[in-house]
Amino acid sequence: MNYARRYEWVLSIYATARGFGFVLFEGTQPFDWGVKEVRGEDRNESCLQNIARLLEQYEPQALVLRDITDTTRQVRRIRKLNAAIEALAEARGIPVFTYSRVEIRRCFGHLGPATKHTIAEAIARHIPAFERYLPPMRTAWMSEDARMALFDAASLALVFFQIEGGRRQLIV
Amino acid sequence: MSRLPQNYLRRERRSWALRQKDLAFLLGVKSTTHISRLEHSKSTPSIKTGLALEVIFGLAPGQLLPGFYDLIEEDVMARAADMHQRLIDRLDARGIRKRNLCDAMLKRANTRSSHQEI
Repeated sequence: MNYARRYEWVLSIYATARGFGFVLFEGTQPFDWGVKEVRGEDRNESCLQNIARLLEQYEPQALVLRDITDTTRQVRRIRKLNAAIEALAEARGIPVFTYSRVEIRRCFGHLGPATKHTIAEAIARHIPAFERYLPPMRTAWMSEDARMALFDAASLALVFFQIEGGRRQLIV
Repeated sequence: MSRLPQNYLRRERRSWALRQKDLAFLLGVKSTTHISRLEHSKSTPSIKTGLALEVIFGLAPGQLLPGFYDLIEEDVMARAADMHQRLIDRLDARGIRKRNLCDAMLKRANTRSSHQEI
């Protein structure tokens, strides 16, 4: 079984303080995507319910998450959520791949200083369907736009394709 | 994903930043329910809708709604196999021509399924 067949459906999820962004790829084409914002007491539980629904609906062959073990900045809730998503996927027999921010920056290193915004711009150029979600450049007094979670999730998947597959020229 | 009939209508609509309301307008239907049912493979598109979708997205109905195509192909191929069986002893030109059509259909179906498996 070749790589392309083995990982035809790849779901990447990027958990944020407000919820999560996700992109489901069929091959290297996005099939479904979105940003889910959750509110209320138990945000992790709401996120997990939504993610369980995605896994149930699409049965992806690989799940890509962010590796947050190398950072101390992430809130404990997101760490717990990431661990719970990983457990959820493993219970369904879905292999989980994690990549750190460093690996993402390295993957997009050819862009020069690989900031979140430059990476998002590169992704929007590569995937025209995402152009309309590109948030304005963030300034110091602005909080991060919720739509950035979509580009973060897409960047994780592109790193996955480059590291695990190396099969197609994905990064623009 | 294998248990769901594949349907790229929602993906294409969202790729082009269309709302269900916009697509309903382009298709000339009043309700967005029609679009939702098509996107979730809950209703079969008419030939008019299939062709209108091809005009909009530039994708043939078989590419846009491969799940439906597979179901229809399965049905048609079963009948073609039946027809081929009935024609097996016919040696007249008409019978041979019909058998050739059944063979060509089978060849196309096999080529398509082998492409999907690559």
